[in-house]
Amino acid sequence: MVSKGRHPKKPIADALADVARDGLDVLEVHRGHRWGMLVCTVCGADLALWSSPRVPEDTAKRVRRFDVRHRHEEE
Amino acid sequence: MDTHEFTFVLASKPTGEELDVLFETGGSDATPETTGDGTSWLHFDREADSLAAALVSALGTIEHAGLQAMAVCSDDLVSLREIAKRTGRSYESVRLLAAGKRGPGGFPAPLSTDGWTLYSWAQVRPWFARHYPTSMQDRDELTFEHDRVIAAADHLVRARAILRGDDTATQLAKLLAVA
Repeated sequence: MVSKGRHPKKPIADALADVARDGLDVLEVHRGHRWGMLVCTVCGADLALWSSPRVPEDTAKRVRRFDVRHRHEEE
Repeated sequence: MDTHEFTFVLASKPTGEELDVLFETGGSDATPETTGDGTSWLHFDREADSLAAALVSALGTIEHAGLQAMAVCSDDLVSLREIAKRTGRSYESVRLLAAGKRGPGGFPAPLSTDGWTLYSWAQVRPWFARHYPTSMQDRDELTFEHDRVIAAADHLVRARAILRGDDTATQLAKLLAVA
């Protein structure tokens, strides 16, 4: 049983925990193959997250890159 | 097989249903992103024997899901200032080379001519490598090869989108075949 608010794939859950900060929201969708999305509250961009991506480590990498691209306060 | 990273630009934001179809038809290695200005990207981490094979395979996945690709994200367009930075030269030196007022001539033509003059790094880098090889000493050859294929794929995917449903597409495909 995976707790609410935690992605079922550990690499993705860890990445989401690492990037948690003001300006990034995690919205759970639980619809079809989508688990949820990572949203930049500053510009409105979002990254969709599958429940079971082919390689969870690749999605974790995308999560971290999304975080880096959306550090707007440092621009 | 290696995993190849690249990003397609889509014609529109996929609906939830389209994303499910994408996942079920081989797109579970794609991560969809919508930018702040509404542009839709599909980031791929695709296993294939080559980058080119991975790009072709991913485009097939996109179209099989009923989505339309418009471009491949590329950092190929560069200004004279960026060229100067990458080659370790001054802006003025590069400007004179590009204008044919210094050096061997034959500098690649810009991709834009109105206001902002932008060049294709995939064309400019080989020119410097041929005429000023020391300028390229610090550049990573493997990275350039990746960027070169991505730049070419971007042009081809854009052409594919422009010519969709156009009978001249078959004739124009010969432009690539004779290269």
